[in-house]
Amino acid sequence: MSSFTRKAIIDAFMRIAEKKPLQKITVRDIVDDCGINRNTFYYYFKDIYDVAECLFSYPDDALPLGIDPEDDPGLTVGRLLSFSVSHRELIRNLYRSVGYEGMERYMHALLEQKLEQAIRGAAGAKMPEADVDFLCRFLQKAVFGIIVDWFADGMKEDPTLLTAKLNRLSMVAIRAWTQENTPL
Amino acid sequence: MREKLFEELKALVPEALPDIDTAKMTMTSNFKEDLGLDSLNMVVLAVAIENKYGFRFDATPKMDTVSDLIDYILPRIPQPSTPAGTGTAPQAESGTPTGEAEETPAVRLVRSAKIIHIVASALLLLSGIFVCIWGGYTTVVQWLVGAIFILMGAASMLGYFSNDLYRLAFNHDLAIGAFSVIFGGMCWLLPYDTTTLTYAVCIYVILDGFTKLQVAIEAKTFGMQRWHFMLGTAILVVGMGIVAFIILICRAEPRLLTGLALSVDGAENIWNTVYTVKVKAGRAVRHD
Repeated sequence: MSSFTRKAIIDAFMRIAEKKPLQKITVRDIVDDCGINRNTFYYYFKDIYDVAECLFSYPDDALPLGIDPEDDPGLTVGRLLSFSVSHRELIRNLYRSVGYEGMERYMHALLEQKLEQAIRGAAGAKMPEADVDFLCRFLQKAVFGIIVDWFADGMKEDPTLLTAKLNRLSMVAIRAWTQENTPL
Repeated sequence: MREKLFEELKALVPEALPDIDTAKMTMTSNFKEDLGLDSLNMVVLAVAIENKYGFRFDATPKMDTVSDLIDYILPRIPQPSTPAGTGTAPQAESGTPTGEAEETPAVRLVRSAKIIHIVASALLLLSGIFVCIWGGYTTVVQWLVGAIFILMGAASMLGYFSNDLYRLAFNHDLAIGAFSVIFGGMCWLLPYDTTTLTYAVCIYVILDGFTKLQVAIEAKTFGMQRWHFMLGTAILVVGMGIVAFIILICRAEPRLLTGLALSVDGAENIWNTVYTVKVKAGRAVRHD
């Protein structure tokens, strides 16, 4: 029941965020839309920004983006971009409200986990932890930067092609570094 | 259906993966060996298929050949519905009339609490006016004031337990409601005493004013547009109560101010209840 209520709040937020920028969305809007009471909202979330952040995080139930924790890292990027296209106004309102740094904070955990998964999958136990961390941060900045540029550009490039390019470049970088086999 | 899906996939693969040639693609073509797709290509193709057909792949489906993929997709996409049988009338609706759904007991409770609270607040306002105009306290007046405060207290506590959507007006009313009931009971049980009665009324007004102050601050965070007005009236009520209390301590006659404070408190309660008690959900209103 609690997951259902949490999901109802997130769904209501996504509906409203398609129409309003984040700073104009109130807890009242959510309460009016999904019929839960105010105290129930505050039981699950601190404020509206907390709801926005959880779109990209890993709760116990399924992610609103449709990403599963078991997903292939490449699939995660593809689904993130597909979600952005199908919820264009929501992403646009989010980006305008929280800016580059806000979006980076929201997506940080998601990208970091998936990139680390890809790096460890390719490198196995060979790569030292420090190298894994550095490569993960490097790729995270690169991938996130491209994605945000794509948001800012109005998502004009085809998401499937962009997914392919990002995945391929990331894997090339990981394999090259692994084959180099020289710790930093 | 399989053939139709095959043709759609044959067109989709080069759209998603321009470097892949599907001219010789057949049902038994192996993605890796015959079409040259690597794991990254499969990911891109999976996303393109999800977008087209509106379903989601499981984490690791077995898809070596085109036929495997079709077998996976077919049960997950909506099948075309069969044409309606001839001469068969559509299933009749079960006679349920259109219109609003029946209210649940919970909704009725909130509505009742709201109405009772407004009525009790209106009586509080009238009692304040009475104190201003009449001023002559008698035992009967003490009983009447006591009855109004008992009703007000009961309404507040009912509101607390009614679980309205916004949980603003009634959220702090359990304590103030209990105080109100106790005060009302004291009016009935204790001997007639103007001074004690006036002290208690001042304390009630001050407490209720601070409660409404708290509600106004929460209303701001919640997104109520007229929270400024709520804040202003709450400050006014607290101020009037404090001044009346001070006048009383100074042994002066605070009758008029006490009556006014009670009236303003009653009016404020009415407005707060009407504005912030939401009986049931509806689509968000852009401007109230």
